[in-house]
Amino acid sequence: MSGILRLAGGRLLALVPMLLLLSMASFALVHVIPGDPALVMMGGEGTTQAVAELRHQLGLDRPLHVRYWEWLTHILRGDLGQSLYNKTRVSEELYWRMPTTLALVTLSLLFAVGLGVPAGLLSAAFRNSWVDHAARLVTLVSLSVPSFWLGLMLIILFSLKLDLLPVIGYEPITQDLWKALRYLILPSLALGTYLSALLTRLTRSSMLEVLGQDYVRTARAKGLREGLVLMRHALRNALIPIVTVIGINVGILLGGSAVIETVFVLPGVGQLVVRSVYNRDLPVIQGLILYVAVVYVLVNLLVDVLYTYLDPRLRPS
Amino acid sequence: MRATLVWMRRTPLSVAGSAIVLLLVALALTAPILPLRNPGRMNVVKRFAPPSLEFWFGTDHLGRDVLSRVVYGARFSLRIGALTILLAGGPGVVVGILGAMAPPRTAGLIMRGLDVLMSFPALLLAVAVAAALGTGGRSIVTALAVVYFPRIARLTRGIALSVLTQEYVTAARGLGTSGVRLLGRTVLPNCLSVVVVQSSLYFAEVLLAEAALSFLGLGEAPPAPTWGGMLYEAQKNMRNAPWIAIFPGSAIALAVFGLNLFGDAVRDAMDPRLRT
Repeated sequence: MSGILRLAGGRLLALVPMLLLLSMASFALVHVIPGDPALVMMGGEGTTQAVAELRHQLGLDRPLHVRYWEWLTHILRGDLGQSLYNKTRVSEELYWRMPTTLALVTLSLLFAVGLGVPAGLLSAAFRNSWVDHAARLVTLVSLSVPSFWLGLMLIILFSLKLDLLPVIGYEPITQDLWKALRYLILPSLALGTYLSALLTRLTRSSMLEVLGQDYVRTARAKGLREGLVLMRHALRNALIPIVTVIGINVGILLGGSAVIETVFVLPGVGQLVVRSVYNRDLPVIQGLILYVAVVYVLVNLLVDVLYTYLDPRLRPS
Repeated sequence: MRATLVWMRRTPLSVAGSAIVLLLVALALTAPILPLRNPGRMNVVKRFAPPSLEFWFGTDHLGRDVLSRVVYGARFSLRIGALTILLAGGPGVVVGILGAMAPPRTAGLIMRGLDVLMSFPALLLAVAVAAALGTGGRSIVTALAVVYFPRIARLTRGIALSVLTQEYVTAARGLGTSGVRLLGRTVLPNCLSVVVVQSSLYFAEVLLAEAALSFLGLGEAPPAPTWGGMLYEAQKNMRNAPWIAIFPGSAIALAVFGLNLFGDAVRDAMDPRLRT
């Protein structure tokens, strides 16, 4: 166990230059891209004086490295910037919006894993049967449907036609769990479907590969029941690459949450990103994108460590 | 190449995929000469007409023909997809090959740079870049190219590295072949064939991302018929006119479905190990 802790510590240290580069990229997004951010933010409607004022407010009249240093030191103190639109602090907005996005992403992930992995397992176990063909067709279709459109269709079907679930709205999880879940079911389905299909596909191919291994043949040869072979010998090994893919694809969920939160009017981080885009609120976008990228990088670090835990062959000796 | 085509004809799904892609390209190219209504013409009397023989896909909140807007939307989406792949693919291939053939330190630096770009969730990065550039088709293409360029570069580097370890490359080097010649004769052609195949799968992803960006209002300004933009407008009238949302979304799904089938099939066909 201490080996894993040391590994995690080492990886965390190695992350420092990466985080620094991430901050530079987020900064560059606003300040290095050709064109004048002040002009873009005004939408071409401001007077020359108004644009000049905004330039000053954004610090665009000072040298690049000075601005970057100032921004970075603020961030290290936990200050992600301030909205130009309504003057709120990004860190405060994040604090109350984060639980919503976290709940949405977690539920989507649970749905994707809960449906995708068993479907892939069945698909591999009954290769070339009708179960396999059906699962592969559903996978192909799920990979083609835009998540936000799926969301709209789910609203039409379950909320407008069948009247089973609320159309849009939100209830904090801390208030009333059941009510909150009713609001989150459709968004999570819409967001998780793509990842679920990816996982079905991956589980299937990973299982098929493992099922061809010698140790599986040995397990079968010694007369183990097929179910036991699949679950104990095959699935455990097949899961290893799946865990990595889940980690990499948390990015799909984080990115997709922006669109899904907009469709379902959920007050999450993604909705804030989109609202800031409408308002051309570049400082907020800059702070948010850095924040999300850091979350994403940390999730992947966690997955890497978990991976080592799952696969003893990778543990440092 | 011949073997690839023969093999592809044997699998029904790849035939379906190719047919869908061809149909969409044909529709996009011939839209102006097809017997369609003007996609921008409003007809207030016929607002919210449900699908019928007169309007196959119904009309929208301004009485515009949804069918012709969907067909014209294919022009926008396919053009944006193609431009994005070209804009991301060119620099992507060059940087990828540099990452494989440059001195280790330079290559390492290049790869770290790509890692940084790939640490941002794809859709969020695209949203942020498009927001910084201002709305419109051009900024969508640029934003998506920024997202896909590192992916193509990584892919190219992987292939280039594996090509460079082949025996024929060692042999060519032993014979004193120059680096440039090696690049042009072996590395580049090998990389390009894989990148082109993979690009049809990226194309599908780009279509999905483009739809999402247009849906968020970052695409072409409203009168332009884009699939994502149509869905944005459809949202407000979902209760009484669901068809305005159903058809453009189906078009996106169909296009992505076709491209995925096509890309998977070509990839499998080019992998001799799978040819049984």
